[in-house]
Amino acid sequence: MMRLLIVGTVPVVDLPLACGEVHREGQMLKIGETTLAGGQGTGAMLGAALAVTEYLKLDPPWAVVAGDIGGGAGSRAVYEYLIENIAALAPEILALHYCLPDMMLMGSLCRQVVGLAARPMLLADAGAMYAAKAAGLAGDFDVFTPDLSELAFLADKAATHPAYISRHLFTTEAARIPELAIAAYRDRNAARLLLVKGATDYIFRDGDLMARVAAPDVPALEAIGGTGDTITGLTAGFIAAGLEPHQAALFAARTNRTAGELAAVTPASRVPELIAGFPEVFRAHLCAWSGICTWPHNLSEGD
Amino acid sequence: METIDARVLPCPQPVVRTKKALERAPGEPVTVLVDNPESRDNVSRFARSQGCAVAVREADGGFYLDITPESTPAPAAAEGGGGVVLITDYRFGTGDERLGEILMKAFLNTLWDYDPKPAKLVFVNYGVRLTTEGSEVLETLALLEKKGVEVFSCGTCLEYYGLGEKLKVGLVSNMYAIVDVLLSASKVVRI
Repeated sequence: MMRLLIVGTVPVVDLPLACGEVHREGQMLKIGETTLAGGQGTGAMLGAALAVTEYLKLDPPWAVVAGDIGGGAGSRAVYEYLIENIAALAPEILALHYCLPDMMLMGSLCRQVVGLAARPMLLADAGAMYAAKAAGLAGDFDVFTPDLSELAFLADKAATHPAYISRHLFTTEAARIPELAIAAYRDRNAARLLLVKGATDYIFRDGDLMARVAAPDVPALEAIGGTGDTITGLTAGFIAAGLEPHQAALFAARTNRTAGELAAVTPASRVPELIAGFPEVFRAHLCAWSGICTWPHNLSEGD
Repeated sequence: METIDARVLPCPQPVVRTKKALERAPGEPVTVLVDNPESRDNVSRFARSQGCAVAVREADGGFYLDITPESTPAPAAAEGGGGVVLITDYRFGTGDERLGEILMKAFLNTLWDYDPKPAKLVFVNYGVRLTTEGSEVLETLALLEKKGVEVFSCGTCLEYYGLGEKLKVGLVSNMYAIVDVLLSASKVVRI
């Protein structure tokens, strides 16, 4: 329903910038002629968002990606491409993911976005979220999806990167999440909505705790790289489907957990196994979660 | 009148699209086309919960749902039954000052999302900091005002805090008017 643009880098040497609709080819993703693995990072986020749009019969997400193994060239290419083309791309939801945190380029991008006639909804995770916070632009964003240590970074007004958190790095405990979230809001270092991903997922809006999701409890998900990225991708996908951000975040947290339980994941499992189970979770639960379903759903029924 | 083709769309998409269409054009009728009884029932139930009348026509192997808002969206005063929220501070509750500010922002933003809305918001004493320059909730208050919620700030309070020239949303009020608003309200919630 809404045009979703997901932006990030992938750890591939010399992968040139690609921009286009995202499609699935087996366990791989295609953006134009570019093929990406969907197992981790921005690939996992794209794969999860695509699962939502495929199931709900929406247009596929668009993506802007480039390779970057830490040198920064790919991240700069992505930022510069967006700054130049954001008006023509005209996303309704702009989701920024793994990019080296460049405060100056993030500042330029945000100025472009805020100046658009139709300002898109802004979501950030990972490096883009670090850059937004460090540049003092968190308040321009609608959704952040940090994990616990990233929340500690948002709560530490002096830190410019999660590696430089002054107090919380080794002392963070899940019980302190509300306190850290309030600190992030107090210093204007939080987006309007925070989805804090972890053993228990927390959803805050404007500093107000909207929901906690702890069930089903699937500890193995914590050990699998990319399962936080899938929650972010699911959230972006559900927002694109027209759900309110807090509802999208709630559905995303539930979907990840339920798919993990369904697939009986272990620490050795990979993200594509999780994503493969999303359609079944949607079929079984989405209607009931929305609070409007009148008929029971059967796991084996078709689309 | 907008027509939504929600055939083949899985739940909850037919309802989400209906909701968006009703939000796009408040008070305007919408026709929704669905192809299964489940979607028919879900969309009908949702529309009725929003105060709309629903007429179902079966045709072309599907269901046409003619959704008509029962009345033009009423101003908030009528929706809320004349409720008044009296806000006496820029913070919500006692305790940590900044937490109180965050909670107040959350309260007003939630008020924007909540229906029915109150008829009036009355700001007195430190509360007038919320309606004046530098407040973080001006946009929310302006949206509430557009939705029909009347916003009043105590004139004496504005002058006392040197904010007389800095009012950004709503009207200046006096104590007579505030007493009248409070005593004629069906209910008053004090924050």
